[in-house]
Amino acid sequence: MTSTTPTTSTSTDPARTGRPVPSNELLVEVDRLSINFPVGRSGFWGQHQQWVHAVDDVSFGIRRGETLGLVGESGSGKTTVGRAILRRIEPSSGWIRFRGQYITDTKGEELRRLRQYMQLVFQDPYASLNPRMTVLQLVAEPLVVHGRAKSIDAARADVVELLGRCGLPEDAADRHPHAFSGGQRQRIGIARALALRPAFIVADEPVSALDVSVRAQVVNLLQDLQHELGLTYLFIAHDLSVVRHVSHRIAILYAGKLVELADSDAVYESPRHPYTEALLSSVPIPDPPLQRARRRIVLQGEIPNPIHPPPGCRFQTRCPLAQDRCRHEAPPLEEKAPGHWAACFFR
Amino acid sequence: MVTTRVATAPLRRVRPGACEPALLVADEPTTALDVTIQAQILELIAELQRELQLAVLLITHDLGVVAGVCDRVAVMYAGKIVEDAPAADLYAEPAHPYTAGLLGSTPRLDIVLDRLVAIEGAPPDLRLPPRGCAYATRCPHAVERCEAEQPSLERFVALPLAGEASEEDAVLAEDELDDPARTGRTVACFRADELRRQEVSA
Repeated sequence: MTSTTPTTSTSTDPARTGRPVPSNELLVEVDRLSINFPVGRSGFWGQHQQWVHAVDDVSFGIRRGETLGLVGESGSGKTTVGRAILRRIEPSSGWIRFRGQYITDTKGEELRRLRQYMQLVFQDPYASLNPRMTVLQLVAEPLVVHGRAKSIDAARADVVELLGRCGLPEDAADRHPHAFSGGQRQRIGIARALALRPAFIVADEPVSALDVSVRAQVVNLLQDLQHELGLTYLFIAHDLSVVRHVSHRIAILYAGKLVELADSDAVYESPRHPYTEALLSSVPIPDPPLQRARRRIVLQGEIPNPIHPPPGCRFQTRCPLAQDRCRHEAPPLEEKAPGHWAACFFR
Repeated sequence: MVTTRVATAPLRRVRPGACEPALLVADEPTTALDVTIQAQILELIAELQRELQLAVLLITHDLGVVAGVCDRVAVMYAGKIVEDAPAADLYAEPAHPYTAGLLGSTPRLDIVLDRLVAIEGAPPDLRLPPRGCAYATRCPHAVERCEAEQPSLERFVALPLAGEASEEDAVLAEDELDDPARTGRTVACFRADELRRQEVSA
């Protein structure tokens, strides 16, 4: 079952990147995951149920202690993949394993127990925290819900320690979220996610809504916490510069398909998929002479409609390399070099 | 998606024949757009600028976008311009500690750093504007004066300092004094010159 799961080579040089060295144990495995959502009906009597093909046949693994960057544009399915691993969205087909255990059919009390070990950090620190609760209540709530603390007040010492670890002042516990800046609110969101000491965090665009000057603080915090607590991250973002900075490996999604997966240096230095190339060339580099000298591949059009994805390769409508074959046949994800996977006939 | 329409609709309206604008104000025209769509919009703005000889005021928080399209950059902090410089000079040698902080805290696709250099703290509450420099509370170089007094925008000459340049460079520098792109730098920081000298000698 897991033989189709692309894992990794070990070419990441931690001395150079400052990222902790992941173990070889796979903490999370995603195998041939597909997710379709029903949408409105079409046809004269509305007899045809229409489906959004949000995620299609996606496989990858995440090693313990690793950060896997999951990159894609709006509509690529990256958030859906993250939610499915956390069992917040039901897959249409495929398997998810966590610590070697199949969790796709886990339900009830067992699912509740499982959720302690996998948590979500949200994009919007303004919308994700209940404004009526104090920071103590927000961070202690999961501890009480899961029976790790008898009451909110009994959890105070643990919460204060955790807030300190997340860079919040000592008196933060008794204030409400609106008393904090965006960066501090995201720290509160991170503290809440860490309260149950999870092994795995899905961070869904955790710094996208923050000011440039504050973004680096939160990125550094996430990296420090990974070092200290041995966390494993699925870091979902559209900003490739941030993703390259934090990730050991990067997976690139396009219209619900995994098009490339490799060590993050390899993705940057020798991208195989033409979409990855176009994406990299579109990310501006803050260096005027360099940026002006770069060759930019400007893709025409937009990501295809996920209700009626094009036949063959989903990128063929915008691909500079597309040929007849791409319009009939979907290229499989293949290992083009050790640990470097891509889905393109011509690369 | 909506932002695309908002951003491109006014641009389409300034196509030749409709009217003859001289200035295009683009307020965060690519914020919240995916990068491949951002590339399309930036291309469109550049095309319009060429065709219509427009002046463009690009308002953005994205230092990468600025690097690709702007000739000159004014950096604002807490309601004030703190630095104004030709783009290449600003990135090569930021004069204001805030500009330097922004550049240090921006991850780059082409260079992997161990750790980003974050700016600590948060921007000030403008309902209670600080008496001195608004950046002083976050500035690693702030001294007493910075908290008491507001620095004004003053000329900043990023030319080779005495003793560090060859004679040939010095002659070149004389010519460059007439070049507004070289001398048109201003910065609002009491310590800008001093910090630059420290950097040069370091």
